[in-house]
Amino acid sequence: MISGDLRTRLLGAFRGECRERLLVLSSDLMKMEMGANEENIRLLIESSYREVHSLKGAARAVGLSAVEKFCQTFESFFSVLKKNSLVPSKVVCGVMVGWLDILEELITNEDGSASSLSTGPAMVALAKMDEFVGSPELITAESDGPRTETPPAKKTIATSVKNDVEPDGKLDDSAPEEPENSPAAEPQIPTARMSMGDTVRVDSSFLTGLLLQAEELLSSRNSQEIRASEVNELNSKFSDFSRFFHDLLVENKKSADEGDDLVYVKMEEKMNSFAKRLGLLASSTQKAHRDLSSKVDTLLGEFKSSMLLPFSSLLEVFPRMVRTLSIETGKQCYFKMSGEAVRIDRRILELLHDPLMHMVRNSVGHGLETPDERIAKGKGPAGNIYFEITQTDRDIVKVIVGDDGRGIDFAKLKGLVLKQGLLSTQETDELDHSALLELIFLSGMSTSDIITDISGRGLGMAIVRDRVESLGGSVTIASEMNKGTRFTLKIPVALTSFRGIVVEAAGRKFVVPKSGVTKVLLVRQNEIEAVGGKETIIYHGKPIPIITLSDILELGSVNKEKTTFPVFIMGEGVKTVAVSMDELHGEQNVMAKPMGPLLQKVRNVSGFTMLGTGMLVPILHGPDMIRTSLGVSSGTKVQSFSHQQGVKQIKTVLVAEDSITSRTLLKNVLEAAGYNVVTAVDGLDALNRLKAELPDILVSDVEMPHMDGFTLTAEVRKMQKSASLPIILVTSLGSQEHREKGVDAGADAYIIKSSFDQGNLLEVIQRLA
Amino acid sequence: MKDKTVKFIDYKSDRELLMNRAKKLALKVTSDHAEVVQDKSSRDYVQFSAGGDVFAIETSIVKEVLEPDEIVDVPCTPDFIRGVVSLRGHICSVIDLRIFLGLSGDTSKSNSMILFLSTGEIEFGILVDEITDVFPVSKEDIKQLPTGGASSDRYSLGITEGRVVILDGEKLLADPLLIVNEAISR
Repeated sequence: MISGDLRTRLLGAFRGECRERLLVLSSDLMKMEMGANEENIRLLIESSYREVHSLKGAARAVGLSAVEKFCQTFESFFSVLKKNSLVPSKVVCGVMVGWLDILEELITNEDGSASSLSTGPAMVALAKMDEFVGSPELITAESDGPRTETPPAKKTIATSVKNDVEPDGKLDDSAPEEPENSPAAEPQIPTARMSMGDTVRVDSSFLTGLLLQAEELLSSRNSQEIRASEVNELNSKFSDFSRFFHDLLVENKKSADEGDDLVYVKMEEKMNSFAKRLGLLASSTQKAHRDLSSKVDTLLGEFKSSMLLPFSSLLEVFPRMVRTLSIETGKQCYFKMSGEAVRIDRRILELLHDPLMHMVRNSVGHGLETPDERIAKGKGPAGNIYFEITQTDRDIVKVIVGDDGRGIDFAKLKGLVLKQGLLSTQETDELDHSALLELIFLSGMSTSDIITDISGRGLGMAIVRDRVESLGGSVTIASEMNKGTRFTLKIPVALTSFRGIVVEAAGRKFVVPKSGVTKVLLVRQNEIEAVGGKETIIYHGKPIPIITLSDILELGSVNKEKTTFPVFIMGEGVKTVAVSMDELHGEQNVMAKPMGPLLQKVRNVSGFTMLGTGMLVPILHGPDMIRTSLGVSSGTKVQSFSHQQGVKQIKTVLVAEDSITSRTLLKNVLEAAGYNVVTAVDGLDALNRLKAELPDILVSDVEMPHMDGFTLTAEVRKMQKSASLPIILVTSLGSQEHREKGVDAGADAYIIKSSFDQGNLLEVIQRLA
Repeated sequence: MKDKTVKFIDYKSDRELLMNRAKKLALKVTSDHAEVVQDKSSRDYVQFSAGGDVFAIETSIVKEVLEPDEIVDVPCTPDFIRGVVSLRGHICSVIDLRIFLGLSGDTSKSNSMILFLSTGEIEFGILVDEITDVFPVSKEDIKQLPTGGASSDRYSLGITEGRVVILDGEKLLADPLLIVNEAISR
């Protein structure tokens, strides 16, 4: 049939199409589950029916018969709904979301054979659909009957997820394109979607390339501006000169003889015509410049706005994700969003996907308590997770991600900091509330007692901060015990062009992003005081360190006899520093160019830009500068993680696993990763080996003869010498109940075999051992 | 004007001179061509001088040669990164080969040209004083250098009879040591 290149291209297109259709289906089903009036439900069913139908066709085109078959049955299910104008019950809606999960998995597998339909969940789903088609009355029945047939993970907890807007009207007023926020507007959705026929699918990297090329016009415009002003200056200088010459001529005429007079007249004529031409050139250059600049501005402006997408295109998947996660963890959760109509550069949106996803996972996984815990604390059983998006400035979007869960446990955080040896006890005690919170951005920080596949490895927030800062934004955190945690992200709207301040230090020019500068001051030499070997100035009544830009950039000090210098105030709170420089050259729009393949990451430098003069200048990295200043001015840097990894010893891992295959596999994997491995055939064996010699970490199966993993864990914890031994349970029992049992027994991590891959396990071992 | 030029060429001696030149050029081309056909294992190398030493590098990885207006310094980078230049809007790093290879010698001499090397993903320029020749060398003619353990030896394929050090361009381009990737320790 189809093969090779064509198939690859078809599959590429198919994946893109599936993504869109699945998103539509997902949001339709979520809305159905939330309930709406009959008319809306009818429209939603109609839309879902069409999406499934198109998916079926697309799957057939690329030869994915499993997907095709599944869609076909799904489609006939919808057609029954449609024909009989049925309103599916909440339970059935839940089941439908489950089917969508299966469909999504079938699509990602891209398995051409029909055999992938023979997996348990898919078979059950197909049978269920047929059953519904056979007896439509089941669809509307609110009975518990169909529940037992749902995929196992979804059956027990009824959780409602809502994404309706907060009533206080925080939603941007200019949000008519988000009709799903008000049920009354819902019937418009299908029509809006039909207009997709007018759009063209273009590779996003191609579009980005075009934009970069268009942005190159900026430097043409800037140099044109400089040419124009040069010509203007020349013109005015020349007219000065010709006036002077004219005066001179008048003087000389009185005394000069005939012959000279003629020469003078000729000269004056020439000069006049020259002046005239120069004047014309000047005005036409001016005009050309104005022309070019307005055209470039319009072009770029429109190009950029075509790159802007509303946040909703990113957040569409979140309600469903929260729903699934909360069911998996046995929690109840309301998900609220506001301001999803705010628009932002799509490249930024893409880069924000992972960090936001991570924070939501954190909130569900660690932040929120179980319903029982919440009730015990006097809160409602269902937790709240919210997204608030506001455009605070012309160029800056503020994203608040928060929950009303247990908040960050400061005592635990302090303990962890001490345990990791990041700071001394004294240093930790000196830290205030907000400084302590900052520590969660260090890698390896997780206050969760248990590592699961959802979250808890403690790498996340470090990655989140890296990502947000690389976009030129910032992230701050606020948290209160038992009240919740809130992250505030400030992100620039556009990626490539931003306001920068051109500065000079040690005779070289640099651009500092304006977003990183809180204030610009002029500081006198006598305002600087040396306190404990550090130079400081008083800012807002507090001493803050002051450091020269050339010291930050290791340019070597150039001693200039100056009494005053411009100073940037950068950073916030305890991390406020003053950076002094030799010269300020004003503010301008700059566009960042990447540094090329060789310079992947350079201290304090984030990219380059072309100034209007055509001069290439480094762009400095604000957060790095602050970190450098604090490091340089305090003389000692905070101990880094890489140092600790430097003194790596060979660790011993005790593996308890009854299956010889799994045991051998684990042994090989761990030995390949550089661990010394001791194996045990069951819990009892493991306990004996452990008593003989204490390993650095224990990895144990749960189901084992003689003594299971839970008992083993409990026994190990009972013994004095192994009370704090890191224990990882590896199991196929994925339910919340088992997870809790693992925590109760005292395990440090609980890895589910279905989500078990080597990297995951090694990562966890590395962190715990 | 036109008359003048014609007259100029009309001088007998000049004509002769031009004829000779033309012949010479024509000969050179044919002989070069013959050589290539004759010896298939030979490849073309660009010969250049950098700070007193003479190197050669395969032409296939040399993308272009440029006389830069200005090389922009990048703060907080290793010494061997001389800076960056803009190559038609794209930023390209420039490397001082002598520092990278740990060679002593005169680095203060004005480096006047940049040789841009590329293998697709990685690309950078190296500073050279001048390009002196392009010549074909067959594999057999590249003699192994006695391994002295110097870091410059790691990137050389050998030496030609004319005592030109042949650099292993692909190895150089693939070297992770050239990549700067560091963040501030926190």
